[in-house]
Amino acid sequence: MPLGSGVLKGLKTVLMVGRRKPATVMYPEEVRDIAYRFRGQVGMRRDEITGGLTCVGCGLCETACPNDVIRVDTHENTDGTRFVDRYLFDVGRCVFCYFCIEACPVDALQRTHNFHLVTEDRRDLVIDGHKMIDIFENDQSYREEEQQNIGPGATITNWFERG
Amino acid sequence: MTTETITLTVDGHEVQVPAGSTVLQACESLGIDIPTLCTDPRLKPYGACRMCVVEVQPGPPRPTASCTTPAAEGMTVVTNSDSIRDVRRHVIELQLQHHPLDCPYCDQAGTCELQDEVFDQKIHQSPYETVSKAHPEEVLNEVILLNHNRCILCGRCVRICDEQIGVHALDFVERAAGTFIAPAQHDFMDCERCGMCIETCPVGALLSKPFKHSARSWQTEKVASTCPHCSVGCSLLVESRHGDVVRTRTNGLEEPSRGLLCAKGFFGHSFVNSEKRITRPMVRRGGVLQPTTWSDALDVVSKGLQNVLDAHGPESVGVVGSPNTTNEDNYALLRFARAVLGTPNVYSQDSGMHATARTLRAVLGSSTGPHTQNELLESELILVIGADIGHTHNVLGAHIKQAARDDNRTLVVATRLASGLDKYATVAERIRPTAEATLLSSLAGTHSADIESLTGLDRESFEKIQGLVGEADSVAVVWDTGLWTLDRATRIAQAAANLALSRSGVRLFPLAERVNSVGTFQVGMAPDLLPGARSVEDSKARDDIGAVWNTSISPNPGLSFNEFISGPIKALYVMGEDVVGGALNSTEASAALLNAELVIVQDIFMNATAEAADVVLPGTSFAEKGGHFTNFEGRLGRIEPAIPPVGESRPDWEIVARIAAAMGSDFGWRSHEPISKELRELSTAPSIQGSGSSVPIDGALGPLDDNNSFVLTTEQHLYTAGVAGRHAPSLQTMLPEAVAELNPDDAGRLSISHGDPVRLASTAGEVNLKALVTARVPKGIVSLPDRFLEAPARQLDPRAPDGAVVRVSKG
Repeated sequence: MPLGSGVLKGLKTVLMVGRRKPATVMYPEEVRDIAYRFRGQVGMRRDEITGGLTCVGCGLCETACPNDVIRVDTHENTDGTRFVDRYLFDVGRCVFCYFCIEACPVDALQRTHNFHLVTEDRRDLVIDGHKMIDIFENDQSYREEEQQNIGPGATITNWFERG
Repeated sequence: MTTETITLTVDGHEVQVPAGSTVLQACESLGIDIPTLCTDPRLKPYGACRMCVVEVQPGPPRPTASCTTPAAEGMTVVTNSDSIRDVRRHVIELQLQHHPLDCPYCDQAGTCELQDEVFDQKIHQSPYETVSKAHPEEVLNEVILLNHNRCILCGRCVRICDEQIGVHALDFVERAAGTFIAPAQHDFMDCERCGMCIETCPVGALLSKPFKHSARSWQTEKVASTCPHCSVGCSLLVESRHGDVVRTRTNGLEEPSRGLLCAKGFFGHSFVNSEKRITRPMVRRGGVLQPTTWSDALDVVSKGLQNVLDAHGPESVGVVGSPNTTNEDNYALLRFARAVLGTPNVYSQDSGMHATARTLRAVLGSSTGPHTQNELLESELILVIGADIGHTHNVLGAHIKQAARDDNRTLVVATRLASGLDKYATVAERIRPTAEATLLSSLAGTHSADIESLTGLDRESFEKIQGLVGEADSVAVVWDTGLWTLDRATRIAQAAANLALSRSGVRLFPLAERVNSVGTFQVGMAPDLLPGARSVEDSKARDDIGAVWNTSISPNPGLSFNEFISGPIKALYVMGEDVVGGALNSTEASAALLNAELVIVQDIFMNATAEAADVVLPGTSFAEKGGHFTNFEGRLGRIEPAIPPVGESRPDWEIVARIAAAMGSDFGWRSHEPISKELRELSTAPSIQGSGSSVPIDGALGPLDDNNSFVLTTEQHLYTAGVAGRHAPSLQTMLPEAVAELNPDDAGRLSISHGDPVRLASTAGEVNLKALVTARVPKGIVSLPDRFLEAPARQLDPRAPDGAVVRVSKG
């Protein structure tokens, strides 16, 4: 092999690759498009009447969860109804199977496209119901596409109204 | 009991069942599952739900309820056919017409029998128009809620309250489709708050208020354990979630409770997770108890005890065990005291039971040990003396009522206050406080003085009781030993022994106030006893036990508690007991504690003794450790840890074993199992010949000088359970404060009405309380609840409040 051919080979590679479009996305400044069925973090719907959690504290999500992610603590409210003290969701343990969403009888739990979960402390990954409402409300991409897919006029049934 | 069997064919299989069985039982014995809604193994067949229908040949050509059909010879039963499935399906569909489908919201979901049936029968929608009822949830009392919408009218609550508890607080009201469940007394509810209606309800109609919405039934961890509140020692299931005990329930039909619990058992568990629990070791520094680490606290305890031992000798140290803790805990403390500290001064602050057990053993011998509950209920005549068993030992009271009503036992009640047992009794009479011993002794025929001045009974009713006792082949005498003075417990025990000596067929059932009173006696928590309740004077016992303990045990018994605290006390180790607040002599005890160099208290709550202690160590409650309680029958009730110890608390035996290890004797225990084994091996029952001597008991009652004078009696109330009970919020709501109970006539005479402040004054002191006007108190008597932290009765007479004469006035 003649002297200097290695340098030319290297130069050729550099020139070829240098002309390609870069695959790297400058996250978080740039975000890639997310497919409609992408499974992001679980969010929660805000109750239209009380403005708080829609959750009634039935614990079915806790039971359905395969990974011990959810903990619902409840007690009796002054008017005799069930009151959710705190709804804890450990995203660090979540496998995004969405069994909880399927189990929820009042459609309190909702899918989102949110995957911005970076943190320096694992404890930050345990979020409560109000944080889940924020996540749901700040992530409407899923909702927009859902409306396009199933058409306008589709409503979410409220379990309480069925009586 | 008949042993006759009958043979019938169920679904082509032949089965033999005892005569008197129902078709349902025959099917169940074959393992055939028949759906039921109104059946409960504790209750008699009723036939309300019509779910258990089967086809019976020979019989009517229609589906027959198997729960109410007696099995007969040669019967052919078909349990599963098209028409039967159809009937069952319609029953469920009709129930769902009114039943709200709020399962995600309902506490019963997961254990709901209606839900299970709907699931089993794959019913997805009702063919009928559904009409939801919309009654508001009714609050029956502090702890019981009733949701009429969910009720399926199976009648299980009505029946368990009537048949098993003997109270009949609930009943059906109205007829047909408008029927609903309501308090039987209409405007008030004569309820014992045992929660058995909640327990038996197949749907979520009756709900426990303390438990409501706190957990779903499938989320809880269930552990079989024993109730820590009285010496019946009921078997129960402790349900916990995330380290909190959320509820307790009955544990099948296990003896001795047979599927029942009382208010204390069902609702009295909430002290376990009370915020007032001691969660860290504390050491007194600069006059204040300051939280510290375990290693520091153990260091202070072991060095402190060693200093006292070096300076004053082992006799100056005393240890106090507790009838609230397990046999294992007490045994650990006993071994620590005798083998490590070398002191014979071992005590257990249970006044009545030890004195009673000692007396009965001395007079009747050791062979007539505790009898079983079965023997009690099979006795021809059951004589309840003194305390109201319905309040002190509620579940046993319920069993006695049932025996009197269903098994034709003659029940004689001679109590100080009117009792729930009265309406099932052949004779129900009131006796004056302190007259129990005299009455028993009179029944034995050992004196002939005027019975009226001795007991407060008139001669006619006394003769009636005497006649009934004379006629009966077997007599069970039941009394509560949870009394204030050893002297009085001894007198009653001697009188009961007199009765047992005077005739054959008498069985004695002394009931202890606290769960492990019998256990502390049998473990040997007394200055003259060794494990197995063997005497220290027994040289073989000393040798056997000394060999295991690696020590030689002195044959000399230690001092009595009173001699000890007024004599050589330099250090005191108290486990699970309040020697100041709960003892007989509070003033002497508190003075002695202040003078002692070192007081170590190991408990779950702060109390008067702990306030005066130098070191406080956090022990554990029944829900956090393993071990055994011994109940009044001598039966061992196993407890299992349901939750991890609260805070930094540790099981009591472990604390004792660690201190022993720090003082140079490692017992080598890593769980309670080796302790149970060691205790079992050392507990050979001693054989003691009874003296057989009958000692006449006498003593007339003092007359009352004027209209404002009353005789004081202290009664253990159904809703009080000592320090633990005072920290259980649900029991606290049932009886928030100590009240003085007065007869309506007396109250009217003094123009005192319900809730008025009253002043009770005796020669020793006075107390101010609220009045509770109730017909359960006879005229001329004022009743105070005992086992309250404030212990108001002791301020009236520190030594023997019962029978003291007090003046009552409107305060």
